[in-house]
Amino acid sequence: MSARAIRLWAWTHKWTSLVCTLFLLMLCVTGLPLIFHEEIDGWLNDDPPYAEAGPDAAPAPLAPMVAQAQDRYPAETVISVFIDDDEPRVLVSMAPSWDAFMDAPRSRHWLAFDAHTGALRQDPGPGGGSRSGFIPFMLRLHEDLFAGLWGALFLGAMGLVFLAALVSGTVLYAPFMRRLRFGTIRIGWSPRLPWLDLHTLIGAVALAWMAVVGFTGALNEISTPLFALWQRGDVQAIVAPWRGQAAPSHAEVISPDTALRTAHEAMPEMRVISLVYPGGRIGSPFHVMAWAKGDTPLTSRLFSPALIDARTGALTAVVRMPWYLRALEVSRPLHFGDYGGWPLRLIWAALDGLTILLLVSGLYLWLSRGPRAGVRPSNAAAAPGETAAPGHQAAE
Amino acid sequence: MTGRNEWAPSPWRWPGLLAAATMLGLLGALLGQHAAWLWMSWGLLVLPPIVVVAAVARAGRLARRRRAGHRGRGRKVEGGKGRRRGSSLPPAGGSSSRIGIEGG
Repeated sequence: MSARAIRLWAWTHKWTSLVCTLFLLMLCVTGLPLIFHEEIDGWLNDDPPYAEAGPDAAPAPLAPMVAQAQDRYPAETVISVFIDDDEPRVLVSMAPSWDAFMDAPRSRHWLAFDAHTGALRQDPGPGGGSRSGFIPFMLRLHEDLFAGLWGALFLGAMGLVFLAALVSGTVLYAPFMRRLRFGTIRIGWSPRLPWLDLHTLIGAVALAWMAVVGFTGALNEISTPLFALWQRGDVQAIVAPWRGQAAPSHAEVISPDTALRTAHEAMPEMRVISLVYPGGRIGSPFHVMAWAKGDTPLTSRLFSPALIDARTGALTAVVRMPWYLRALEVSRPLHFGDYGGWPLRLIWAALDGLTILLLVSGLYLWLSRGPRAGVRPSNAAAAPGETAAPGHQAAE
Repeated sequence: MTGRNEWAPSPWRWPGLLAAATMLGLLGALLGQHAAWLWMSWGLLVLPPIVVVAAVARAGRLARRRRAGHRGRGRKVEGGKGRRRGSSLPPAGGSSSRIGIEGG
């Protein structure tokens, strides 16, 4: 590689890294507790235990749960019914109205029911529940910096800048390591040198993991616009025959048990996990949208929606998800690391820790650079293998 | 390019193998249907952290050995085995001062 090319890549590596480092540090630090959110939630949770039920016990009907929720909040609208597949519980989400929910998604609140007995377990009320606490705080910071869609898009852009930093760092790896044995960390020569070698080593060994998690994270951040795109295209085409009709009133909407039964019949090999009532942003004003998923490690990540006529309970269509939403769905576990049991989560935490170390070492190398840090092109050309961390030296 | 570099192993060999192992580990648990895939995934994905820990431990060991050599107890270590292993060598073959490796 020519000296000019090295300088160009070094400049790219320096600036892409500097632009995203602080945000990536925030993402790594907030992501660490999110890896163990189930355990942390379990420790912080003081809910009573679920009712004992045999493995073949039939689930309680959903309609009484929805009716009870509606009785407690008669002025509000049922948004969705979520049938948890991790715990035996059903969450009924409510909001002042669909318009209020679309304007401020955080206006939604939920009531939790025991899936076996149908008994109400929790009703944190509007403003309570999942919006407060340590994990929700970390999640919002991680997802969107408390800035909604624009925050999510900004973090997605930072993820792409991080990928550019990884690519440029990879290009610089070979010239730097040509005369060094893999894994060399030189201690005792100068304070910077061990950090430089550690930075290079972590970048080399965790490159694939960081690239996958960075890319899937960026993909997740643009999920809202992607779903909106799908809603405006495929879903609108399906509900076109209903356009111009009056949307069903709440009293006209079929029972959730009827919708569940129709969805089961339409997708017999899948597990229905949620019913979204008519009026949602992703869906139709004339249909209950049932979301179902498979039960293998891969298909459990692939959700398929079915549109069920909200007045008659008849199946309108099982909607095929476009490739970009399928890609998004498959990418989610690769970002969260929640698909391989607790050992994988521990490894995820270790790799997250390595990424934090990579970012901190890069920041230290930049902050501790000195007036002699510049590299003359002649030197770089004469011995590219000896230019230490071109990203932190040559371009300075 | 010097003759030494022509015969040296590619700097990409180990990072390339680790990247391939990581990708296999990431996809193994996702696509595999049996517990064996999970075990394989854990085994492959834990390699990068192990490599970093091993490299740091090795560097610390060599630095201690080098310090012991400076104190006059380990001339053999200073000039012999430790030097051949690479980590006791001056930075990047001794050219660091020429190109400002230490950043002033």
